[in-house]
Amino acid sequence: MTATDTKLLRRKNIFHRQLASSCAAFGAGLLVITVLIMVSGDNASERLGLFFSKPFSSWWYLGNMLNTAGLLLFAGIGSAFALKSGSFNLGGEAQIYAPALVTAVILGYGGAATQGQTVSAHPGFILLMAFLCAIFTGALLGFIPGILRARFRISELLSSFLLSAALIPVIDYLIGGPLRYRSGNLLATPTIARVFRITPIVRPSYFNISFFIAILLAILIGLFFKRTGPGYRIRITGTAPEFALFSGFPVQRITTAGMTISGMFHALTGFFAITGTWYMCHSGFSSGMGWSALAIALIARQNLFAVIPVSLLYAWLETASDVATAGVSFSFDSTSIMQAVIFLVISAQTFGEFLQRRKPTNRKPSTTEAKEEVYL
Amino acid sequence: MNSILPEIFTMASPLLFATLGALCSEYAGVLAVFMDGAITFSGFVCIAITGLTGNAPTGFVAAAGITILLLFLIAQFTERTRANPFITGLSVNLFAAGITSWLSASIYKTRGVITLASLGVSTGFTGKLAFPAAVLTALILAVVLHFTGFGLNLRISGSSGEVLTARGISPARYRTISWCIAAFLAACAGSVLALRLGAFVPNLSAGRGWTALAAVYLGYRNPLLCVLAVFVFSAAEYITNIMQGTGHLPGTLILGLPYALALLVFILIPRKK
Repeated sequence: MTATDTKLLRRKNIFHRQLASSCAAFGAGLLVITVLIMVSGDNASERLGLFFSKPFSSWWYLGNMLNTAGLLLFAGIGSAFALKSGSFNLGGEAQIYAPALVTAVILGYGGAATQGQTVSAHPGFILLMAFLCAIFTGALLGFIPGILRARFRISELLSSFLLSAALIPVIDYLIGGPLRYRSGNLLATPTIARVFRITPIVRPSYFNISFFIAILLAILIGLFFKRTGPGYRIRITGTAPEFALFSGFPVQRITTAGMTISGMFHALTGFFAITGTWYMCHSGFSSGMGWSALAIALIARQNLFAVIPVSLLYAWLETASDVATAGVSFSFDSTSIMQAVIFLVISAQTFGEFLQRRKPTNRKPSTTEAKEEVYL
Repeated sequence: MNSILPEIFTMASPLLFATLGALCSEYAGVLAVFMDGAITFSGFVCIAITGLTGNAPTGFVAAAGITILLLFLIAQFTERTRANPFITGLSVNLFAAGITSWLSASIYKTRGVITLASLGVSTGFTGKLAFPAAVLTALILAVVLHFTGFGLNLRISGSSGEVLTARGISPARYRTISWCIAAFLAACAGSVLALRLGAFVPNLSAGRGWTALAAVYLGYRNPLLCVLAVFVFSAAEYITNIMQGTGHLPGTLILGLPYALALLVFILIPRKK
């Protein structure tokens, strides 16, 4: 066997191990949700049937499921981008929520102003402004933990989470207080004008063009990492920061940029959620989306191409569990439990080895193999 | 002033327990991100078992036992699969939010507040002894960590585990023990919070787990200095509560303060070069 063959075989083994780990994580999430549905209330078999069939039973469910997949995909790309650059972005929740609020406020109040002839700005200009402001907000929320890590060596794991957790109540307060639309009953901003809304492709669902934009972006970013020099430098900085440093790569700048761009992708979720789905920003609408995006990026093992099918599967899992638990006399936070199980399983670096250890043909991985494994 | 200090001390006790748990875990090289979830989870178990038996000490013992078991299993999983402890810790937080929601919906048909009064139980718990107990725990921890072989091994397991391995001692064992100690102290924090309120509320910990991490840094990883750090945080909490009471600060904003304060501490405390 030549050296090239050995290398290929080793890569194949690592790929198989990662695939097994991702499948185990997704399977565990699916299993837990299935068990919870079965033990929660009556008509378990009926609800289990709904779990598997309902999301595909009508255009309403199917379209909305694809729409959710698209929204999760933007944020999933963001999480994967941060992971690729060697950072963990745990601030996804606020990075979606805050840009969504910015979008809703600019389009809601700006739109009302144009309709009332207070401002004569072109709707396209207002939409562009909303888009840019939303992206800037997301970028800023990613930049802060990025720069704190690069300059002050504060773990972005902590700072991104804490910043997000501190901001969410502020956003809730703004939605319920100063920015609330007083004429409505909801804790929400005004509904945006029709001219700003993305037209659904499949009615009556909200499925719209943002789904295809998300897929295109995932492919483009995947190619960026695979085929371009800057992509290569980010990848190397993410997997081997010391090597990158000795190679003369601007590690600090790459780390900060990784987090900033991650925030921008999360902001896209917020922007498209308002313009394509909710048409207003109501309190807590994006709750859990940031964690879902991180789960998707982890299951996909930071592979931008794999993020696409994983987003679809994850959206199905979320939609199906919502549908199956909707008929129960009581509802519960099924998504959190599912995310917990997925995080737990996917965090294991050596899940395959852990299972293999129970077999008599146990083998320790070589140091090279362990190093090559794309780890958390 | 005479009434302010006792109030701050009462408020400080859950945070001090949580901080000491986070400190133990920190010494063993594990950042206790699971603390927030563990407090909420143990608070739920405490109220559920107290409601079932009518006895608060039984509720506390059950909360401690179940939380230790949960975190022991997670620690074992983390060690055996070489998992990232930060992510497994986060999964504890998500699990706590989900499982308490599911259990309260299944058992009590609500996702909101579960009061002991609604379960027909009155414990008479005021939590006045909780602060002295927490300070005593800090003293015991300071002695154990700095003057015993166990404490030395625990500290070394976090800073240079290979030294322990060379001496034939498993650092993984000490890390697992640190998870269990943290679980016990989280249960103390969760039980004090829940019993003092006489109820379980969703997100019972309200960011105290994260504040505890910040207090560990503010206290320069010293159990006794951590008591002072906790006092500072609790005094800040007291002031914000007063401001909320007078209508100067909206209640929603208060929810974000522990996180903002923790972030500020992480930014301001100088790092080792």
